[in-house]
Amino acid sequence: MMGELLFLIPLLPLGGALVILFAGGRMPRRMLSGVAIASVAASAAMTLWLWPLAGDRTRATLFTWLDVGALQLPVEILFSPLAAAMTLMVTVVSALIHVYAASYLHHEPDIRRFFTLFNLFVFAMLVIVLADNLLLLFLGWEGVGFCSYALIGFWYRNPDFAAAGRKAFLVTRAADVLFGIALLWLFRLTGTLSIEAINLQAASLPPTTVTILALLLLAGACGKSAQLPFSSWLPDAMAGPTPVSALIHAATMVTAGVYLLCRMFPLISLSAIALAVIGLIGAATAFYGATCALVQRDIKKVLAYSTISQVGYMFLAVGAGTVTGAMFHLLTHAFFKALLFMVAGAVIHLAAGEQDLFRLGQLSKRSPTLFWLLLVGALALAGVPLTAGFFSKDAILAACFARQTLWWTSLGIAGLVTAFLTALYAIRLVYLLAADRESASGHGPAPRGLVWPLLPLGALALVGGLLNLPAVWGGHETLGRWLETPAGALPSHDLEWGLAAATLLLVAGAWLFIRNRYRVPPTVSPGGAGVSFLAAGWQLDSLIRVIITAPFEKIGCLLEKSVERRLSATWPAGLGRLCQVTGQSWRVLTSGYVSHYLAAMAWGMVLLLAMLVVLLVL
Amino acid sequence: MTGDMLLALLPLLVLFIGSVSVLFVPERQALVYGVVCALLAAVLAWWPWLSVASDTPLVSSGFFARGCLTLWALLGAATCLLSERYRASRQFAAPEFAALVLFCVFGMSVLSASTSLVSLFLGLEAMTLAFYVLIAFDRGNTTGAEAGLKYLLPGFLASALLAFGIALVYAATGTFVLSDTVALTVAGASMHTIALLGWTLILAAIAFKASLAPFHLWTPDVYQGAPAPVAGLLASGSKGAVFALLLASVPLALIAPLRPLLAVLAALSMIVGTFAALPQTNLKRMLAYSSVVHMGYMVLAVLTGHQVGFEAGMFYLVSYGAATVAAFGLVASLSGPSGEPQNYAALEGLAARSPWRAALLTMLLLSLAGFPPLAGFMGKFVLFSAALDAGYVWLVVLALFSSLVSCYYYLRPVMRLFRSGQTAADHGPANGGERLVLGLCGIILVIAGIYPGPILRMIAAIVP
Amino acid sequence: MVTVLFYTLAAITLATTVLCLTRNNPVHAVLYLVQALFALALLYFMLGAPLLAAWQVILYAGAIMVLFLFVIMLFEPPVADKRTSGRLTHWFFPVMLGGLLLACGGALIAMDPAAKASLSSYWLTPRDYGRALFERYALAVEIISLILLFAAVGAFHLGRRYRSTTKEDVS
Repeated sequence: MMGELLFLIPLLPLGGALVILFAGGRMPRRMLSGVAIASVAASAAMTLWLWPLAGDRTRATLFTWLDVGALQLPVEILFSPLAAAMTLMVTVVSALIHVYAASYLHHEPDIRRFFTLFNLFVFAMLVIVLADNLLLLFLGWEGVGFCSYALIGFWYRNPDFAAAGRKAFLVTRAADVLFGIALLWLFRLTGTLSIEAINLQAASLPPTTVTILALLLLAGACGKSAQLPFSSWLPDAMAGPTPVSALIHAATMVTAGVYLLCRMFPLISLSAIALAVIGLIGAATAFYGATCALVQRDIKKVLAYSTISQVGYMFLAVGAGTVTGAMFHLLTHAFFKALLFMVAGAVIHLAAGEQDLFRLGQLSKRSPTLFWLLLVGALALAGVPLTAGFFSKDAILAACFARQTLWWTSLGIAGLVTAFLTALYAIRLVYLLAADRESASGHGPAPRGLVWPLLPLGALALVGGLLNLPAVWGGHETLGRWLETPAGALPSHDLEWGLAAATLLLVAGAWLFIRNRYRVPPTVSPGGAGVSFLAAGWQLDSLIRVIITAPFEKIGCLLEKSVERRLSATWPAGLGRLCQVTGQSWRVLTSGYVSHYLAAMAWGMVLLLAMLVVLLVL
Repeated sequence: MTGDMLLALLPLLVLFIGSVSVLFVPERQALVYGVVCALLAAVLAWWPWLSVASDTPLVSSGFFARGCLTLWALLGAATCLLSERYRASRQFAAPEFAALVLFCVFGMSVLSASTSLVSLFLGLEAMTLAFYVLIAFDRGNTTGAEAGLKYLLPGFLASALLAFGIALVYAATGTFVLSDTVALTVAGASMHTIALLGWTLILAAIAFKASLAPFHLWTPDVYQGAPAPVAGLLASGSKGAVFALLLASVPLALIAPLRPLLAVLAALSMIVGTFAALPQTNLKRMLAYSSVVHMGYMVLAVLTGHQVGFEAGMFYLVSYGAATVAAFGLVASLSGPSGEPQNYAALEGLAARSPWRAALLTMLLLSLAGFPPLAGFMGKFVLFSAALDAGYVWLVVLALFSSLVSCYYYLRPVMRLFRSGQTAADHGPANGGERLVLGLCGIILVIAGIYPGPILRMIAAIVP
Repeated sequence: MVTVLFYTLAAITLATTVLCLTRNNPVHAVLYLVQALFALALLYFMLGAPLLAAWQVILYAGAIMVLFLFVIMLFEPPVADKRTSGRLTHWFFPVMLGGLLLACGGALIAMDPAAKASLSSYWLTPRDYGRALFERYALAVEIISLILLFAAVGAFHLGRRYRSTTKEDVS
């Protein structure tokens, strides 16, 4: 009976969304945001209350949506430890960000639309997390995609923002198609859409098929998680309100790809090639994102590239075989990245909408609390020892090095280099924001509603490492034991100490470097070619335009002129006319004379009898 | 006749008593009285301690019979509710109308529940007789009288074919019991050829009632001439009852030589219906041809010859019936003193005048065309996949083709709805009964399209 | 002998039915139909259903056909065709078929004057007939009575004269 209560976890935000949608117009603003916050908070409380159910991997079926022959589509959720951990993170972080959003959008006229979509997003995300059925998961997957689209373009009157929303939608849709192919193929092969059942049957599938399937799933995950080559939508997605960026484009939705790979890990891990590709994409994206983040001037774009880079780490972890590491980093990243985004939002709020890093500053003077929170987030991002980010990142790197093959060692080294770059841009961010200069001025101190949701996140960013403290540091790897997920190759103690030392050295080096460069507030200077190349995200957009979009358009135009016009105009028109003429000529049959109708019946009778005679003679 | 049997047949008795007693009810209350009787029969069919399964003669009292009776009773109630506008504005003798509708429902229930060739014939005749009168019921409308005649004369021919067929089958098998006759024919009775000939004649009669091509020519004229609620009952109920019989008690597909005949009827219906519907500019005629096509699809369900196919067929009947009744109901609710808005031109600009009804009509036509997520899509999905499983690939391809083309003729009136027209409205707002029926049909279509599970399960529970 | 009688009667039934369908003069058609019904009645008798045979004669040939004739006479008094009335061909078929019918009937009576021995392997007594009708097929009888009732209701409605209403309403 308790199992059925699990459905309340996703349904509460849905209910909130519906209430706001239908009754929001008649509610005062406070009540409206109150409903939104309460529904998500209730969902979080529900998760905590039902937490014990996760230990038994509780499964609950609400109803069978479709039951046609082999196609069984139960609306079923699986509350496994993995899902439970993710659910708790999603609901708690969502609840905090909801509170934050309520005061952030204080002056926004249309908060009804905002909170409807925001709550709907939480619902869709929880469907992804809890679904045990790939089709249901896909519905949630598309649901978050839609909410993301609508929220990026929330200020749709600005054509750039609307275009950013469209871009995000189109790019992720392209990847979703591949995911959809994988889904249908899996159904064809295994006859089921249940993730558990597919994972159980995966071993019996031919290896090549598994590899292709894993790569298709990877493509879907890459699209949602903004990994190369589908990464270009995320920086543009910063057009949405900052709470949206914090919740959707940092903490939850972009990690859905990682979560999908973790859920499908038993299938994916059967293919060494797929794992290698996942690791490569992860490492490459991590490096790519970090380099781009180094030179961004827009505070939110720094964080966007940083998100791309950090999710790359998670992919690297999945590739290296440590689902635990991936989930650990997913959780800690959700804490510190949401924290950083919300700090950024508060900073922007203080500076009356200014987002240029070189025009912001004096944070430590204007709002010491915010400054300290920023520092905590940045330290966790940089991986300073003993913060949450340090432990989770080291676990991933350690898993890479512990594989002790050339491939994984080099990916690990790439990860280390990226760690250095990460430290560089994280500390750069702090220095630039704290810089003592004439900065854009806005309203007074940050409202309390903007600050206090950050405190729990700050605390978690600091001590989140305790979740999965490795044995070397005297911990018990609590998270890993709870999740019961593969942890990959076990690193030796020497390796772990070495990595910790290396990290410490890298962070220290980065700090010294940045300190030299940014101690005196730098003036705005147009960078060289390299800088603008990095700032434009390695010109990925132009590359895609040249390689994919432009030829596509050209072929499209060509086809439109030659084939399409015939297919869509000339031939169908002819065919349609043919049908019309046939119809007209047969209309004569319906003459209106009863005698003709009787004759037709007689002829029909003759036809049937003739057929019968022929059949009997044969 | 024991007490148990009487109890088991109580819903039928209620229909019978209701149809007689309504003749003595005053003009104004007659339609409401008819609705109450039909609903009472529907409720009694499922009243726990009344639904004793008894070994009743001629008609079964099993779950399937009760389920069908409920469906037809609901259709009858809907017909009465939709006719209120006609009673108010035309020469409509409401008591006679309600009595005939109830008797028609009685006939359909006997037909779909029949276990014997005798009750098959009587049920079919009872239903048809009521329709002869109902079609011509509006005496001020001369096309109605013409339509009645056009149903009457071919109907006589069909009855003759049916009676002759029954005689031949009886001669060959020596029994009237449906299951035995089919089983004996399949087993190769002593006069196999005679039995087959008999079944072919019965098939022809059924093809007439279900308006399968080439026995369909009466359909457009009759639909056009009949009052819209009656046309709705004719399109959904009479055909539904015939197919319910074919799906539950007369599995014709088991008789191997009849399969090609059924397949040809299905194919002809799809092709002829589709092509003939294309140039129509009259909504009721278009719906008539569309019903020919849909009945072609239904033959697919009969052809599958197995449980899953029959369930799919019943589901399809429900979705088709709801859409059809509502479509004719809409025509009824839009009719004013100058008659029914049958031509597309009369529908022009409806979206501006009465947006709800325009939206509903759009939804109904889209459902008939099989657009997801409406019931028509789900119905076609389960039906065609069942037919594919049974191996009728070419028929399914044909069906898909015809439903593709059908988008054209279904969307044509829809486009007119949203065009800004200058036609003045001569219809009043929908009355309570119309709103109830139309709303319910709309809800059924949406629910059956989005969440068909419970309906499919209910059908699976009653299909024998 | 019985076989010969059966096929003779069957042939008469078919021939009279075809003639009934092809006549232009409705009175002739009805008279041929009466012959067909008589032949059918004899067939019923041979098949062992004397009660049915009697009803066939009394109800169909006797009552319904007479009704038909009356209706025809009422609406369309036949005009005697002087040109053909005297010809042999005009009289040949009715006389021949009627004669054959009479001969068959006489033969049947001659074969079993007291109606004691059964001509067919099965003999349906009026008691059996009533049993079947009012026990096994009681429901069918009820339904038929209902059909007749509602045929009357329908005919009453369609044939009734209503107060003249505003004809502009009607399209």
